[in-house]
Amino acid sequence: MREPTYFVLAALLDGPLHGYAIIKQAWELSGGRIRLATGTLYTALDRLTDEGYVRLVSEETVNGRIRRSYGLTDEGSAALRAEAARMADAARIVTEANRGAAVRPVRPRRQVRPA
Amino acid sequence: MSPLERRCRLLMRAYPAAYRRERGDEIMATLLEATPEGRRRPLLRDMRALIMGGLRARAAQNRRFTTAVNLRLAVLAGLCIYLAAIAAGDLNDFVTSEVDRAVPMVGPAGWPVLIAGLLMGAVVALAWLARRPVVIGAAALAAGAATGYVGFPSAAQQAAGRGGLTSAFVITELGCLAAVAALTVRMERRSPAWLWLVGAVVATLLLPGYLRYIPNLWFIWMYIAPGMELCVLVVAVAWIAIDARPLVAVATYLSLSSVPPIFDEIGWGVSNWFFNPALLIPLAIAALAVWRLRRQSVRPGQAVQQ
Repeated sequence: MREPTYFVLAALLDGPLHGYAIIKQAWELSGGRIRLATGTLYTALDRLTDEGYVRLVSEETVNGRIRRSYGLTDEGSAALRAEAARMADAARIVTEANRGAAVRPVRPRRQVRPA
Repeated sequence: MSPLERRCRLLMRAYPAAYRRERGDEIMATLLEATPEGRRRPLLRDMRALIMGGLRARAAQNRRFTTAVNLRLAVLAGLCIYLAAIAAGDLNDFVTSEVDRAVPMVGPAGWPVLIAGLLMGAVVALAWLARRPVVIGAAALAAGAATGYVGFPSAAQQAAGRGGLTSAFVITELGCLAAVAALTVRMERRSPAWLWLVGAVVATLLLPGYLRYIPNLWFIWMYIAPGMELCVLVVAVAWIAIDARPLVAVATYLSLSSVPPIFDEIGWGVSNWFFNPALLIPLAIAALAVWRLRRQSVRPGQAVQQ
C-alpha cells in the first residue's frame, strides 16, 4: 500500500469525511508531510471504492455543489490495520531496544590508489 | 465565475465527459476549497494531478468493454474517416468546379457529386447519432449515389471530357458503406465523441488545400498538408498509452486509402499487392495498436456494458 493511500484510509478511521476534509486530515495525521492533490485524492478514492475498501456514505448539496462523504468499509479497516501491523513489524527491526546501540555506523574506507 | 474557477473547469476537461457529469462538481468544490485564498490559478501540483487523474480515468473507460467491442468501435471510426474524406473531397470538387470553372476537372463534377458527397457525409454522421435502420437506409442511398452518379459518368460528363472514378474506388466505397451498416447492426452504444477524430482527420485533408487561394501562401499548402496528417498520426501514436482505439481507426483509414491505388496498379501490372509499403505499414501500425488494445480491454466474462 502506498503512503498516500495509507493516509487516505487512516483519515477515515474516525468516521466518514468529504474530499477536502480527507485532505486536511491526511495532512494533520502525517505531520504535514502528505499534502494530497485533489486529482490524486479522487483517483485514490475511485480505486479504493472499486477494491471495496471505501464506500459512499452520504451526499448533500453545499453552496450549490454536491458534497459526498466517504467512509471505511470493514475490508478497508482490516486492510489498514494489516498494513499498520506490517509497518510496525518492519520498524521494530530497526527500533528494537539494545539493537540500535549495538549497530555502529560503518566508516567508509579510504581507497588507496596505486602509485 | 472567478478566474480560478474558470481555470479549474478547463483542467477538468482532462476527465471524460461521463466522469465529469458524475463527479465534476464534487472535484471542483474540493479543488476550490483546497486552493489558498487569493490565487487566480490552481497550485501546480493540483494541475498536474488533475491532468494525470483525467488521463487515468480516460484509460479506465475502455476497460469496461471487451476487445471485440473496442475493435468494432475503432474500425467503424476508421471507415467513417475514409467515407468522410471522400465526402469532403466530393464537396470540394463541387465547390471548385462551380467557383473556379477555369480549373479542368479530371473526375466527375456538378450536382451529382454534391448529392453523393452529402449522402456520404450523412452516413458518417448518422453512424454515430441515429438508430440502426436509419444508418442502413442512408448507407443504401449513398451506395446508390456512388454507383449511379460518381462511379459511372453520364453521357453528358463523357461528352464534356470528364471521366468517372475507377471501379476500384467505387468498390472500396461500397465495401466501406456495407461495413458501416454491418457494424452498426452489432453495436448498441456509439459515442458521438468519435466524430471529433473524424472531423480532425478530414480537416487536415481539406484545410491545407484552401490555403492555395490565399495570396502569397499558395506554395505552403504543399508542405502543410503532409505535416498535418503526420501530426494526427503522431498524436494517435502518443495516445496509445491511454487509448489505442484512435490509432486503430487512423491505421484502418490509412489502409483503406491505399487499397484503390493498389488495385489500379495491380490492374496495370506495375505493383505487387503483398509487398506494397503503403498497405503494409498501416497494417503493421494497426497490429501494434490491436495488441495494445487487448491489454486495455476487459475479458469477455467481466464486461460491464455491452
